[in-house]
Amino acid sequence: MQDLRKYFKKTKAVDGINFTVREGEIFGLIGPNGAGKTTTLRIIATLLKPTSGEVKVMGHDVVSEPKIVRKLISYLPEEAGAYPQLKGIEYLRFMANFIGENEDAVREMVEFGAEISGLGERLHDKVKTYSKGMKRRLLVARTLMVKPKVAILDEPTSGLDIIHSFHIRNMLKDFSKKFNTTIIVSSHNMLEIEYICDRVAIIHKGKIVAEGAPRELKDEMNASNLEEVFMRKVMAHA
Amino acid sequence: MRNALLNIVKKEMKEIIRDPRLFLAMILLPILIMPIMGIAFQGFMSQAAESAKGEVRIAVINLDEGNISEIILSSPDFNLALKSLNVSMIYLNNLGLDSVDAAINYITDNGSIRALVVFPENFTYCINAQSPIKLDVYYFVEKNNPSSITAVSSRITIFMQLLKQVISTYVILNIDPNANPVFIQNPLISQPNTIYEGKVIRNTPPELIMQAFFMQMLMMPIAVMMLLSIAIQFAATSVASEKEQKTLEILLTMPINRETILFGKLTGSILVAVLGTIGYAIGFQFYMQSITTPMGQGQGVQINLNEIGLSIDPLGFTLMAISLFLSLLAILALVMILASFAEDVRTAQSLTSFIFMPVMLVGFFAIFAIAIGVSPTWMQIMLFIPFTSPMIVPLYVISKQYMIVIISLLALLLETIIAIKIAAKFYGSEMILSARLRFKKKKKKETE
Repeated sequence: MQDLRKYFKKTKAVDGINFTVREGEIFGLIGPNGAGKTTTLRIIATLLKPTSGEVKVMGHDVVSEPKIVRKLISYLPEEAGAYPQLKGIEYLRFMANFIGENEDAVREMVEFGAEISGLGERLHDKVKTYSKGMKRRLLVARTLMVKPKVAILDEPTSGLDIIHSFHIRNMLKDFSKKFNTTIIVSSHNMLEIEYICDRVAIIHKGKIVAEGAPRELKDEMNASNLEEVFMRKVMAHA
Repeated sequence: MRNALLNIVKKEMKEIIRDPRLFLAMILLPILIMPIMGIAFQGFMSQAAESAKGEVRIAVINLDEGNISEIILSSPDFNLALKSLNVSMIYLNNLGLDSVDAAINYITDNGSIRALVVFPENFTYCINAQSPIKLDVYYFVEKNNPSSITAVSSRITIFMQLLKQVISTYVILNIDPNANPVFIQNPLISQPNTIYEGKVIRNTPPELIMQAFFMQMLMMPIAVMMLLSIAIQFAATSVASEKEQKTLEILLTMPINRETILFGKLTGSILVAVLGTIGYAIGFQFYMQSITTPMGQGQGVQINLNEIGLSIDPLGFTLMAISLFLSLLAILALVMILASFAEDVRTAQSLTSFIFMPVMLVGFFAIFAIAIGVSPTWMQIMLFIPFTSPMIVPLYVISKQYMIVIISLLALLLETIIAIKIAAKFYGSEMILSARLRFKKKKKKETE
């Protein structure tokens, strides 16, 4: 990602961001509300076009080669929903049908999605009967079941209780390790980011104010945890 | 308790009044529609009033083998009374015509005569025998303006009453002062026949033809309006629910063309609309079959729509279906764009009011246009507008004017392609995600 800028009329949502995510690592984007995290992730996911700058996924430009990029990524938006009238398993199948090239591939994806969701028999119930946590687990499973090269998750545990958050965090960590998948994740939860991410970038007012491994950042700022690093960096740029 | 009730009522009123749907549906729409309906109705009434007071030309052909009909028809009292009623009597025998067929042909060619009264061969005989005389009356119904027959019908009624009076007076004064009172009271039996589009429909009063015409012409636009309104709501909800349920973003990152998503949604809505169209077509077939029977029952006559030229052949049905399908496609494509600006179903429904309101206005105008019988230019313009096309096409299909319908359908196809192209471009851009409009009360900072 080079000098990425995205302006909505006069608002500078993203104002010259540069970072590189290494293959197989979990990269965290942290920042206060309105910092530009979601806009950045949406640009990587080909949903928005940058005002200027360059974003490449596995060497493919998100603007000129969006179809190729979409085959490489799997994106989970913040507060995403699933079709309430479909059963959980039907939802996984509906999504797998867009990716799987044949029935076997689709079945394999759905079985894997069902397994990592941990929803068991509840997958045969309609989504409208799910709790927020169950719905999120289904959606995270949908994101990962296709075994993407790059998984992009915007606030995957936002608003969830400890049990569901714990399940999702472990799901991401295990998945990345097992399949060498690159994961880009945004979160407000500093402890979560510190726990799952190999490297993080702190975004503030559309700019990256710090980037590195959580331990490096803590040492640099002489902080006991990432939250302290975050607060000091953000306050310094306020 | 009173305060609590007032509190709830106040909140309800605020919610309702601030809802743009209410403003559109209950305030703006009536304000716009009522004057338009008023103007249209005024036009209709002044046209009817004009017809009522204008001169009506009634032709008479006299086949009487005796001379009493001549005496009565030349009676100064009779002619004076007709003149005062603004009825002009054309005596076709003076033009050398001596048969009913010749008279009908003459009147068909000469469009200004609205009715023909036939004095039968046995007219003089019946009077002398004091036996009721059967008089055939032929009404000439104007194409596309059957309402004009009302004025003619009322003059014929008066014509017949005058004739009865003159005959009764003649019989009492010149034949038998003690004549049979039953005959004196009712010396004539009037037998109505209708001529529509050059076809003679025997034993059928023109009012029945008028009813058939209006039922067929006015029911179509109403049915089309209902069908389109359902399809519009369905399509709008389909798009908005994706945004409301937050499922659109994921769908847009799938490795598929954005146009595929548009066409998928469009096809879903169209399939439902096609089902509606099929139901509508089947219903219309039943309707066409059913109106013939009850309409004639009261008068002891049966109207054959084929005979009077109000039937629709398979080609006509096909053209009507194409018109409806293309209209649906064009309107739904536009609805898909508009609904994309909504973040939730409620807003989408409010937004579609902006399409539905003009659609309703144009629809009402089309209905009035058909009722009033506006100029062909206006009708032709409406033939080229996606929404009014399926309302107006039947009018042309019934009168078998296929060429203009086919031309209008080609134009409609072009309009539909343009609408779909615009929608596809919109769905291909990031506007599908970033476009948003939400009808929601703005919160003041201090209340946050």
